[in-house]
Amino acid sequence: MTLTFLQIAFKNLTRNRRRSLFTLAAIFFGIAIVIVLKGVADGFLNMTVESVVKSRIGAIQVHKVGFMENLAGNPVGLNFEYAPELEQKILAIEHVTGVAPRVNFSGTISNGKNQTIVFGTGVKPSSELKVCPQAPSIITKGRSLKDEDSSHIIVGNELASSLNLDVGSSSNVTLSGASPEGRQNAVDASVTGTAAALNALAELRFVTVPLKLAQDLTGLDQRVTELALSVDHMENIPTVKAKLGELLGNKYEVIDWQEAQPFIRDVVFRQKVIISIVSVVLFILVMFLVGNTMLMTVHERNKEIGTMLAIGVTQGQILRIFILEAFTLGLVGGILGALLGIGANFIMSLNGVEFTAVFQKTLLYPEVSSSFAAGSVLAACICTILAGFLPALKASNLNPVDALRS
Amino acid sequence: MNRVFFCLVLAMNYTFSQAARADVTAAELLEKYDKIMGPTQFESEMEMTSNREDGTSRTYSMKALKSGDDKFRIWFTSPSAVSGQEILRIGDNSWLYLPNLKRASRLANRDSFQGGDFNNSDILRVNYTKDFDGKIITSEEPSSYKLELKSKNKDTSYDLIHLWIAKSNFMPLKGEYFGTSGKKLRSAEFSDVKEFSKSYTRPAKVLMKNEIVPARSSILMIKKIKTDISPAPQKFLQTDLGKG
Repeated sequence: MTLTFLQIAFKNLTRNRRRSLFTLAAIFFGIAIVIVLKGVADGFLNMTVESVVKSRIGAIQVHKVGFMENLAGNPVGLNFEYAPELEQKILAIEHVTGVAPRVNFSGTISNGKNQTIVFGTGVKPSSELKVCPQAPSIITKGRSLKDEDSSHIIVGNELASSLNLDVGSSSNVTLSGASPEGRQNAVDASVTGTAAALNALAELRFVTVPLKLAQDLTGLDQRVTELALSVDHMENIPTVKAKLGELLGNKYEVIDWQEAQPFIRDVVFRQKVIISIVSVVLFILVMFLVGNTMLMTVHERNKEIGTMLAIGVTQGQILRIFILEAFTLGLVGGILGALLGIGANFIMSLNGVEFTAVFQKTLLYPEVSSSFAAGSVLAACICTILAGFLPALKASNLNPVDALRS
Repeated sequence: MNRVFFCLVLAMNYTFSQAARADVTAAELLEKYDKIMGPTQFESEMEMTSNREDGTSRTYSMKALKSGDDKFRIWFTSPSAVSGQEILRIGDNSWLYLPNLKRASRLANRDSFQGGDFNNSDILRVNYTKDFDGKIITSEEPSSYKLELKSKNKDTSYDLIHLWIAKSNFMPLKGEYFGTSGKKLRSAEFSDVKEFSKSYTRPAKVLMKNEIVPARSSILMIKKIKTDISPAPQKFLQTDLGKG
């Protein structure tokens, strides 16, 4: 019986090709646009997070307790021993893919004429590359650090321009710092590269140096102030955090990228809210278009409804035919639209879309989950059914004679 | 007559050779330095001028009071921007009192003194005997002793100091201050030796040059200094900060 109705519904659709195509097109493009927008937006958020997590901060950071609170004071003071055994134990935790030791210090940098305050980081380049594979992407000029570098440093772009530092052997600078006890020290270095940072102020204070140089400058010897970890998938961060906490005990604080960079977390959250609102508004607009088209088509078919009522078709059966028509339109248009959206996202994600977001030269990879695509199609079906149901209900309530006359 | 003359020559020779011979020990020289540059107690008026790399300079006037080895107090009197600020050092702790906030915050030894090229410990903590092991090394200038001071502990601002002290009157002439890396951070010149009282003579001027940013330097001038005083103990209490 339903099959018969489905056949009638389908026949009705093919009978009014122009009208059906118009409705179908509205659903098709609406769904496609929503999916592409969502894909690009999610890709953008992922890119923001990944470019920060994978180029600077790492997914998880370990410090001595109190470090984050004292960051503006003297970060060198809260240091801890970093033995190879500890590295092995951390790497043995499931989902951990890399661990990088760091020394955070504050000091000054001088070009012989001027000096300014810097917040430096000492890194082990090979470990850093595992934890932050995108680290080389922040380099604007020159090259990144290598393990064999001993007195080479990377400075922020703003810092380089304010101190007139150029990449190369001629640009000698002196870094000054102090040990936790207050012993002053200074070392000569040459700038091997300049890099972008999160903002202009950070760029003005940004210095990355070889780990050994930072340890010598601050008298830390083999000790470090921070461990940065990478994990295989971002969703495993909470699990790894918990295990690290168990391993290290309460003298250490284990934080994820959101706690390390609350600014980025907030930016991502705000973008998510904005994109969600835009998506919902767009979806509502699309559904109004679909609803309007459905209304028009049902109104145009008042005579047809009158005829059906006159030959004894019941109100329920008429409703069923119209709902099936709407459902078919929603389903076909939705699926086609979703396919177009997914296809467009896929093509864009093959090579990435070049984008300048947080750092330079970033590629955006749109991606959309299948559940979101399926949800869109379902929503399209429900909306078209709702949009078709009300006018059909009204039409089926008509007196057959009035309906035929209209 | 000849004999007398001969004896005189002999005596003079002896005296000169005494003075020329390096029979003073490094420890004695350090003790003398500490006595000259940081007498156990004193009351003074000083001026520090810091010349910055942008060509500007600023002069700070202050009064200082020292009692014993580990108590120091400074009152800034001008310019108006710092007037009313005070510094108190008790042992290893130092505080800077800000009159606008009516509260004191901690100072670190390594922090620069009022943004100049002296650090806080250069001014507040002159006790090389306590902090350094001294060794006399060959001086480039025959008229001076050269001391190499190696820090005894991790708390000193400098790892190594070279100090030149005049053989004639044991006044310091110049100093060079090094970081752990062996890099020269600062160099000082002591000059304008002045007899402030019958029992106390010292260089009135200390020029501290910043070796990392050569355009920067600071000058400390001692205007007045009295050593025959007995400072009131309540001046070295945190509760006295802000009370003048």
